Amino acid sequence: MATRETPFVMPGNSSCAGCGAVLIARLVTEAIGPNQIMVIPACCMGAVATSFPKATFNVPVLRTAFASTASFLTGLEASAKAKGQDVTLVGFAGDGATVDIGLAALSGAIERGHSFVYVCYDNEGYMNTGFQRSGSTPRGAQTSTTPGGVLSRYKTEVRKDIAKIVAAHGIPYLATASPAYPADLRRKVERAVAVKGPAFLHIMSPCPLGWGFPSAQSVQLARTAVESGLWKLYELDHGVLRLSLAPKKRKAVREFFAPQSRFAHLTNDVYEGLQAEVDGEWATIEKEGFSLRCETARA
Amino acid sequence: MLKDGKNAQAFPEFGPERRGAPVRSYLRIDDQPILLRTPVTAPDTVVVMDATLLERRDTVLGIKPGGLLLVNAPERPPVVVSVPVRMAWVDAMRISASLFGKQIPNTAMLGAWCRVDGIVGQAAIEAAIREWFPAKHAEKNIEAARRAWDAVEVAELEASSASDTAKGSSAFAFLDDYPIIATAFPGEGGAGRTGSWRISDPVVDAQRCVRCGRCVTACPEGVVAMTEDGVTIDLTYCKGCGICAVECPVQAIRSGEVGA
Ligand SMILES: Cc1ncc(C[n+]2csc(CCOP(=O)(O)OP(=O)(O)O)c2C)c(N)n1
Ligand code: SF4
Ligand code: SF4
Ligand code: SF4
Ligand SMILES: [Mg+2]
Repeated sequence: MATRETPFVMPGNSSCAGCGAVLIARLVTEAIGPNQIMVIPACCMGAVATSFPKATFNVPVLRTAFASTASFLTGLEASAKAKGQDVTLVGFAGDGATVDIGLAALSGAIERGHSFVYVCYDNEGYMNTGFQRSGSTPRGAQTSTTPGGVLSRYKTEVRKDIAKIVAAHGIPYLATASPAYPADLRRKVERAVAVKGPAFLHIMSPCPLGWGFPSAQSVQLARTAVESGLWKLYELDHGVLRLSLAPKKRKAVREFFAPQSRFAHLTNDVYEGLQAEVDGEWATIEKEGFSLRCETARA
Repeated sequence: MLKDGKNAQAFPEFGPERRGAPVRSYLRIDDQPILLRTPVTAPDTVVVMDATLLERRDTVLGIKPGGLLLVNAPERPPVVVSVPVRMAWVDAMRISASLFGKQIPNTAMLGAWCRVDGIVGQAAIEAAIREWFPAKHAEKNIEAARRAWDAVEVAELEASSASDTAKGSSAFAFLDDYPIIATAFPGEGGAGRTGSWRISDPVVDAQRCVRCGRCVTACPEGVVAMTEDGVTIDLTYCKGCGICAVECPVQAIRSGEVGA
């Protein structure tokens, strides 16, 4: 089990250089401490979790089938209760495993009110299997299943907003976070552990390989997403909604999209449209206060 | 292969499709049409794209006596085999880094393999590279293949003693060390010494550093530590992503040449 001397995430694991997801995994596990059990489905972090016979995370990890993160959390909670064990159960799953295939299990587990912390690290696609589109891939992105060209117009569908879907369950605690704001992320993880019942964290997870940008810019890009007003940091704590940060002078949304090859085809018209959408959202926020009705454009 | 009038079949084993994840793929070559659709278990040739994979005993498993083992390595790699083989090695990383500024050793390895195996001619390889790559990349890749052709070294390797190889005799022999199947235990270097992935080294300027700790928090690998002497980086595992340099508020980390 991890201590101050031994790290929570072992170095020399198989994540790509500059991976946002493994950084998030480190920040989350460090914030929770040794008393946790992780449940990780098929996804990049599932693959990173074991290079048999070595394991990457220095806490107990159960690796599950793609759809079953929340089902495992449910069962583990029952088992911990039966044994009188007080341990934090952490689901750590990709966007595909959360917003697509695992959604029914997640919805059921939240509705039944089991106690767990579910972290969705969102790299906006099925990265482990070669960058296919997911329900969380933003509109306009190029992926290996929305390649662009004569027959395909990149991703044409609007992305599912998983945080709003989860909020609709009346969950006790929900927050969005970013690896570029580690102190905010840590506070939210600690709050998620402290609340009784289910807690959900939606964390933007830059993926240099799948998004097509230099690995050095991973954290920088996550910061630009927040500073441009595209990725909103907020939390919903027992019905009280709070914006964690309102960027004072917003960066142009272009600064987020332009370094990524998956958006290389975006034209000035599209940028202008996106900028107008984001400006509109923030104008509404400034006028009426932040609400989950504010549309999230995110391309 | 096809250019030399042979039949070929190539396919990967199901698994993660990411940089850094170990991948195994197979190639069959024959004068006859190939009907077999199963993985190769007794290869004539094993090509190892990353020398750290040699630490896994199953990497060279099944190789035929007198077979060829080609490794991407800067120097002669220490290898334990249960049968005598011909071993070849070439520093494909350096060739690719100097030509492309990136670690894409594939065409260099192709050139080295072409030379030491001899099944396919150099002209066929170069024609295939020209066909596969857009014109602006083709010449550089051909140059990579040629440099590796010139640089590859070969040595005959004796079979090691029985005690060294006993555990390598079955793909699952290493399970003997573990009481419960399918349980992995925390350990560093699951993917090998990932420091070998670097194409540049993070170099800390201790004079400039204000000890804010941002690099410690931002490093995905967790290999940056704050000690009494300042910031230290574990280069055994640092993947050279460059995030620490970008995140440092006073530009105290720069990217320098590997090993300089
Ligand atoms: C039922 C099922 N379908 C497909 C797969 C193959 N598969 C493994 S990981 C993965 C993608 C996971 O995407 P996501 O959850 O977003 O995680 P990421 O890899 O992006 O981190 C897929 C499709 C599987 N393991 N199980
Ligand atoms: S593909 Fe992306 S998310 Fe997956 S390990 Fe690589 S960088 Fe991380
Ligand atoms: S280059 Fe990347 S892996 Fe290496 S110390 Fe810096 S942040 Fe960590
Ligand atoms: S980020 Fe820069 S200044 Fe801060 S501790 Fe690291 S090297 Fe020093
Ligand atoms: Mg994903």
